[in-house]
Amino acid sequence: MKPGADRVSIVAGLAVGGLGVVLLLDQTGLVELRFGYALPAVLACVGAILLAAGLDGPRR
Amino acid sequence: MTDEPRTPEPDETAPTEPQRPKEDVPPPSSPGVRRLTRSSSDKLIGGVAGGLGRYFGVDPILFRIAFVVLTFAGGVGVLAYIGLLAFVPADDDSRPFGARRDANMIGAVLLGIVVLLILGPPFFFVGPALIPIAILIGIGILLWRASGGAGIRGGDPGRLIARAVIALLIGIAAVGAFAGVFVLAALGGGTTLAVLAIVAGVALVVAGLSGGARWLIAPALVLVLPLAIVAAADIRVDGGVGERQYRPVSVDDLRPDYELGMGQLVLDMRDVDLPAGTTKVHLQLGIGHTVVRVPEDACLSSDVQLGAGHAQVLDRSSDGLDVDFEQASATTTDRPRLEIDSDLGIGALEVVRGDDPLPSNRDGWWDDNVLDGPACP
Repeated sequence: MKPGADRVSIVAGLAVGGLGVVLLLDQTGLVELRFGYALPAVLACVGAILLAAGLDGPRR
Repeated sequence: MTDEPRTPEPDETAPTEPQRPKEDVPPPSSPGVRRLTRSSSDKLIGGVAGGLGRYFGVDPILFRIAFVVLTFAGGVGVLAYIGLLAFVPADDDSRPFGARRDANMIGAVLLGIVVLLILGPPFFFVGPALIPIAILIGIGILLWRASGGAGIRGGDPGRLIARAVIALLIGIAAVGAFAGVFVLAALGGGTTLAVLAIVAGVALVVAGLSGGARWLIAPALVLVLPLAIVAAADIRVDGGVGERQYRPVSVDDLRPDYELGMGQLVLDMRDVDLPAGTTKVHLQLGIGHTVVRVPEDACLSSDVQLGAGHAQVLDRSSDGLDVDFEQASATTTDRPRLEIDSDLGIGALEVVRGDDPLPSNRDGWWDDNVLDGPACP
């Protein structure tokens, strides 16, 4: 990884961006999002960010 | 003689009998206050039951049995254990859970797993009710950390209160932003918000490669989480807000579509003399309560889609998340046939025949056993 890069921001960006793509697909009607899929996706997004923050430790 | 017999002072350092309650014997670390701590010597997992047993002066096995029993009662035992594990410090470590980042992370992941497990069968019927509990625990952990976590003991009370107030204000602002995004998405701005979420994600990645912008994570989540709820429940509130009551007196008055954004939608078709054949009615409600009264002599077919809530069509009921069921009546009968197609976001749907009482009006909220069952009377 590039020196000075912030792993937490990158993971959060990928997670939020991924969710945004899924939500855009739902809005355009290409997929039909239900709670059965949306809830685990949201929890996975938040969990990934927490995991990255926990592994990375506090900001210097 | 000055050596009079004296009542010996209680020696706090002397060994005591195991499992005996230590009444009026404060721990050395906090004189005068009996503290609840997790036991480091009598523990199977995290010492929670051991600590509770020591604190209340009873055998810890009673608390272990209680946790196991409550776990089978919808997972409450697991949530309670994790909550106590999170906030009660160990007796050999003065740092509480919130001060340790690794433990904090593990707790958050565990909570997520527990919620996911509870949401699936066979705990589906209580799963949704436990989500607010998990959210409250999460908010509690965040407030605990925001106010200083382990620094509360021995810290400056004024500074701690100031930090807690600031954290509370930030929380209120976040809730307000959450509600605002929710309404915007429900009003039809979902596409724009989804594009904004993608832009926020890309901005986070770019900022992360050049040093990071963690302050952007919370706003991005506040943007994306309510949008996910609106999308999953398929909520649309552009049909208006309030209470709408329709009581058509003839089939000519009957409209093919009834729509409401938020509120109560009542469609009373008791006076309608349905013609032979099939009559179709479509109902759409974003958030709220829908009541439909169908004619006494009509055969009913229904297709119910509900994001979250409770739906009852005659004697058929279902609740929870992603409620989706169909009820078909016989097509060979000469009776008029009514097809109800309902799309609801969050709320309740009640379909009853004629003058039947609404199940939600009975004592105990929903009563599933009061309605005529047959789709064709």
